[in-house]
Formats: sequence, structure tokens, C-alpha cells
Amino acid sequence: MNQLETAIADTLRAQAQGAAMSTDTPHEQDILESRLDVIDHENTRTRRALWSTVAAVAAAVLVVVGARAILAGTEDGGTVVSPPRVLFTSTEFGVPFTVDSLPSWLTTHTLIPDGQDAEGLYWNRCPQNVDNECIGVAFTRVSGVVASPQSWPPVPVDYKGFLAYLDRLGRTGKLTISERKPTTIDGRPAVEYSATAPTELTNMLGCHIHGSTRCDEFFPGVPGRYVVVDTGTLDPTGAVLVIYTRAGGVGPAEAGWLEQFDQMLTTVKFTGTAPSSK
Amino acid sequence: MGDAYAVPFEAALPTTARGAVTALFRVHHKRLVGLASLLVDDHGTAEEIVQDAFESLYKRWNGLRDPDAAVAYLDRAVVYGARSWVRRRVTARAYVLPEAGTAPSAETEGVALRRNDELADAIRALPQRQREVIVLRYFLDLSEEQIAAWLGVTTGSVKRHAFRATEALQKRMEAWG
Repeated sequence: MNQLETAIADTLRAQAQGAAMSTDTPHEQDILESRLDVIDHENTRTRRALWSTVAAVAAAVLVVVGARAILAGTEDGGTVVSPPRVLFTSTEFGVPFTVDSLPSWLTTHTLIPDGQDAEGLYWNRCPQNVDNECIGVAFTRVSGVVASPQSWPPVPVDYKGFLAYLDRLGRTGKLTISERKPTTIDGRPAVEYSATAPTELTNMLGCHIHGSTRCDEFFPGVPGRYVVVDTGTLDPTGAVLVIYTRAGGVGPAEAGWLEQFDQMLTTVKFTGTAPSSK
Repeated sequence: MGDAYAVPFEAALPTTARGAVTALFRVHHKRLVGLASLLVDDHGTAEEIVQDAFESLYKRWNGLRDPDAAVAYLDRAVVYGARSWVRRRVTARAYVLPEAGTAPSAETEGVALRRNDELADAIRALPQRQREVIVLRYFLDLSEEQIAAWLGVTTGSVKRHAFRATEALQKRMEAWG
């Protein structure tokens, strides 16, 4: 190591040690225990819900089989309609929703997302990796954008403004948009982009600016599909809903990557209105 | 691995996920807060990133029973958590690099201490990717190949980030005299 490198290493160690000494580990452990309690509770609830679903499906099958047996003697029988089956219900995300299917390539061992709060919800796709580049499916509320990775703070944006912003990124070559098509999500107007950023676009996938400001980013060379949804009155803050998936930056996309994402989109159901304070 | 990794874990881990994760917490918490603090500018955020890392470990414990794998997972989770989109930019960008020559004088602080602080400020002001590379290289003592694997980029990219970072730090130190 040269003199500068030694100074860097010494400085980093001193900084880390200072931070380490100023943290209260027993207090932090109490916080962790509380968080683990929540996970245990949710796991128990998920298992119960799963068994309830299994029991409901079994009961429905018995009913259908019984009905068919009765009808078989008089006519050809009727159409069997499967009962609606909700796989996942958001609990904290600000635009409440349910989905009936999730991509099988998500590596989560339960239905619990890897992250969820009022502004964002995501599941990872990598088994031992929690990098942003590892996000498999994300739902996020966007209410602001930055003009460049260096510009700060974000400026407010609405649905049309966010579409114009993405289109402008495409026109200026910052984002390579391979496909752009209108669609709907649970009847709401939406536009779907298939896009890849040639270079890293820090903060430029949109920010939410109510409360603490935070932003998402495009990773260089990582293809993704981004669906921008006009939530209308579902979100009183005027935030835009962006649902996206992206292939990992550390490996090839899984089989059925986009097909399963698209399948999930067809099952999204919005179930309520976001709290106006969020 | 260097000093930052030199935290022994000699005792056998408890057999339950809960017991194992809390045991790892007691041993590694302070070190990980130190690591996180090098990547974010706010102490509370650093503590929360470490909490998130342990929570994530607990969720995945069934696939990660080896203590060594768990520790490596925690390190990576903290590095990735520092730029996680859930926490992103809560505090970043608020920091403004002081202009050369405006730092406190040697009369009020020791020269060595002042230089240490100046260098720390300059590292904090680096672009995030450069800062990550510097921390992984000089705090965790990772090789360029290891850093590339952690960050999911090429070794060439790591070299470029490291070069630009050290060049910027060198210039900043020269400006400060």
C-alpha cells in the first residue's frame, strides 16, 4: 500500500470504530427481537391462510364432484367455476392490492415480501443476495423525478408527467426502450415499457417525495419491464404506481421471466384507497 | 480477509433460527454498524440497515445454516442495504463537500486528526459506487475480483471506480496541503 492507501484504510477503520462504539447493542437487540416477533406472527398467519385455502379448495372440489354426480343422471353437466383464489394481499403498501399469482422464480420461501412499507413493496429473485439488482418484482409509488443523477431534490410529477419523463429518457438515449405499449392493470390505464439503461441512472427510476425522500434507479445493462399505472383516486397523493421486474445484473434471467411477470399483472386487484397522509 | 473480518465465532450456534440469529447479532452488530456507517451518512440509517440485514438473514435461515455463510451474507446484506431502494437517499445528497481550504485549522485540531476528518469527508463525498469500492477494498480488504462479484460488475469496472476514487482523494488531499 502506498501512503494514500494506508491513510484511507486507517481513516475507514477509525470511522467505523467510532460508529460501532456509539451504537447501543442491547437496545438494538431488543428492536431486533420485536421485528423477529412480527415475522414469526406473519409466518404463522400465512401458514394458517394456506391451510384455510387448501381446506376451501378441497371443500369446493367435493361440492363440484357431488354436483356433477347429481347432474350426470339428468344432463351433460355444468361449467365448473373455480373459486377466486387470492395468493397475496399487501398489508403496508400505500395502494392496497392482491395478486392471484407470483412468478415461480422468486426465491422467497414464504409469500412475505423482502421489503414492504407504504411507499414500496418488493420480492427478490436471488437466494443469497439482497442487492437492488436482485429485485425480482417491485411495486413502488413515484411522486417525483430528478433530471439527472446529480440533480437534487426531485421535482413533483404526475402520471402524464412521469410518462413524458420516461419517454424523454428514451429520446435522449439515456434509456433504451425496446417496447412501449398501452395496457390496463385491473382496469386502470397504464403504459408498459421494456427498457434497459446503458449506464447507471442513480435515482432516475423515480422518487417518492412525501415524508422522507427516496428514489430508485436503473442499473446499467440490466433489462427490465416497467408498468406505469394511473391509480387515479386510489392514491390521494397523486403518486404514480410503477410495477416492475428486472433481470439480475449478476446472471441470466430465469426461464419464463417476463411471461410469469405478465401473468401476475393480469391478477392484480386494487382493494382500497391509500391513506391521504402517506 | 483483513481486520474487519477478524471477528471469531468460536461457539456453536444455537440450533433454532431465532437463537442463532440473535447470537450472531451479539457478536457482529457493532462491526456491521461500523461497516454501514462507512456507506451512509446517518448513524440511525446505518443501524436500521443492520437491523434489516439480520431480519433478512432470519427469513432465509433455512437455506443458510453455516455460520460462515451467514456472516458473509450479513456483510453483503449491509453493503447492499446501504443502497437499497427502500432506504435510498434518506440522507444522501444532503452532504456538500467543503471547498479546499475551508476546513478547520491546525490551531484548533491536530494536523493528523484534521487530515483524517478531511479524508473521511472526501470519501463520503465520492459517488456511491466509488465509495462502495473504496470501502470494500480498504476496509473489508476484498480483492478486485471479490468486489466485482459482490457488486455484480466486471473487474474492469472495479478498477475504474477505484482509480477515479483514489485520484479524487489524492487531489483533494493535495489541495488541502
